[in-house]
Amino acid sequence: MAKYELLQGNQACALGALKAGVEFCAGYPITPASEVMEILAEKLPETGGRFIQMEDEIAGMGAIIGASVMGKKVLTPTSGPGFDLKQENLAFAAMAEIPCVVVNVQRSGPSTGGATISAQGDLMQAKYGTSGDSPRIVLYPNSVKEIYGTTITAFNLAEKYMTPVILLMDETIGHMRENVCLDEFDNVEIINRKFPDVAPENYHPYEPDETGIVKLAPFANGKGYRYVINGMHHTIDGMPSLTPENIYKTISRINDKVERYKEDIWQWEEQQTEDADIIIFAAGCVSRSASEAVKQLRAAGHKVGLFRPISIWPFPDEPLAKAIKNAKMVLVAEMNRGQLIHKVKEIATDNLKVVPLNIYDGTVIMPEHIIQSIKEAAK
Amino acid sequence: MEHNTVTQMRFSGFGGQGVVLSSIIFADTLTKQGYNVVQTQSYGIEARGGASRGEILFGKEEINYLKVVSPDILLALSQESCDKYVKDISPEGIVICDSFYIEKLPEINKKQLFAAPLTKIALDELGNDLFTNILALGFINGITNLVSQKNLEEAVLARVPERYYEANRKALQRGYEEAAKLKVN
Repeated sequence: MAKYELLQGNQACALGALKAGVEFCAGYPITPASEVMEILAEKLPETGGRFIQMEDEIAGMGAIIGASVMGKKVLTPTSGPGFDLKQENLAFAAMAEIPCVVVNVQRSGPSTGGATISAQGDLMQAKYGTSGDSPRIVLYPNSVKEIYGTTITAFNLAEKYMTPVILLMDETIGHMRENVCLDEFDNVEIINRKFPDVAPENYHPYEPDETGIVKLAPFANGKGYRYVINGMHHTIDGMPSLTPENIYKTISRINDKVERYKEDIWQWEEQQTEDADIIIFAAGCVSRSASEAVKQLRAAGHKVGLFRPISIWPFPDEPLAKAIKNAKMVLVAEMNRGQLIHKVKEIATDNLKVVPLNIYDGTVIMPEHIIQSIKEAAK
Repeated sequence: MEHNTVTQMRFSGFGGQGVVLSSIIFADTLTKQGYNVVQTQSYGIEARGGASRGEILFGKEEINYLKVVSPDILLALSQESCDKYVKDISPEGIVICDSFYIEKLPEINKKQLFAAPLTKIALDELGNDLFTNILALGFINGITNLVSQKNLEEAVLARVPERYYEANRKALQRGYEEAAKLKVN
């Protein structure tokens, strides 16, 4: 019989990380993400892993990069103000192609904002928070159970594509408890990064094979694979090089791999979009309210559907385009001043009405808000 | 409450009365009994000294409401939380009050109001008002019979330190009995 337990969202994240094989966590406590770290601080030593509470958020990010370079699976949890501070090292991880998972349990910002106040203000920052063009895989679950599964996916994608992965959460879901059954994850696939398959003397760490994915040997591998890791544009051996060829190759490689494998990365959910005139676009906790709104509006005879991106970056543009092809209106419900609506507008054809619903007063968008917005827009 | 597919509960009081913990324990019990459950709480500045709350939504179907809007069951352990939340209750919603702190009981249909001096019972019979939240759990279940008292006790013991097992058991039982007294009257 399926075993159900009551789990908190942040707890599910920590347990998912352990299931994925996390070996190292470093960070600095911050509401509403602290439980992730508290649980890993307790559990990691039991599984042979390590936890270090660092002096600040920047060091937390630096420490996980260091551990990942040593071949470990790593995670750091944070929230808005800490996510700001992690950006520089996040760019380094993207540039040097070091896998890591950064959990951002969003709270209301900017700055200190409100530590326990829910908001979806970091959706664009998660992709564009750093300088230069760099890739980002960003996953955004909407339930306690999905947090568990998505955390495992975050580790898998980081290891598979040798890039940082952001697990974005809402305070609402991170702090919420739900009854969950995790039996279906018993035999979930766990992916580990590949070790070089050439001899050390022929090894060029930043020269990937036809897959386009680098194979970085863990430092101190004991097998003679020695190389340099660099935040500067670098050669296939990791040495700094500012020739146009190298700059072009480096920037292209780190970004193209995510573009090339986007169909493997994309995750989304659709509810009753097939015949829908009106589609609600919502992610994270808002999509739960959107589900309820769809249910109620359908019961009243309205043809309404839901499109929910789970991977918000790379943005699932082709699936969204397909879902909204025959719709007359898309309502974009976000707990910010309008962020992903820009992506929706990019895709929308001229005869599709794109309507925003933005609530950013710290309260959660409820089904009634969505229903009311749709009724007003449809007048 | 039968007409609702989802039942909404709000446990409220002032910071330190343990209303969040009691909502988690009740949510644990509902989980064990096969319900879908969402449990949330208020944190931070609002909770310190002011009205603190833990909330539960439960039912047999998928739950997509993330917050309690109109409680079917409101537990109020302080005058402030009672005054603040009583206006939110659903048309047939019940209010369960700790009359030790709530001198001015809400003016609602008497059939919907249940009051007992929970804190006073905890102080007089268990020697510490810290047990009020568990006593309140027994009281709620005595009135509503939503879950099995045995499951509720197991859930309590799973969330409290071992040295307080006996006192909490007693608190839970005492709350349940207090509800039975109301029914007789």
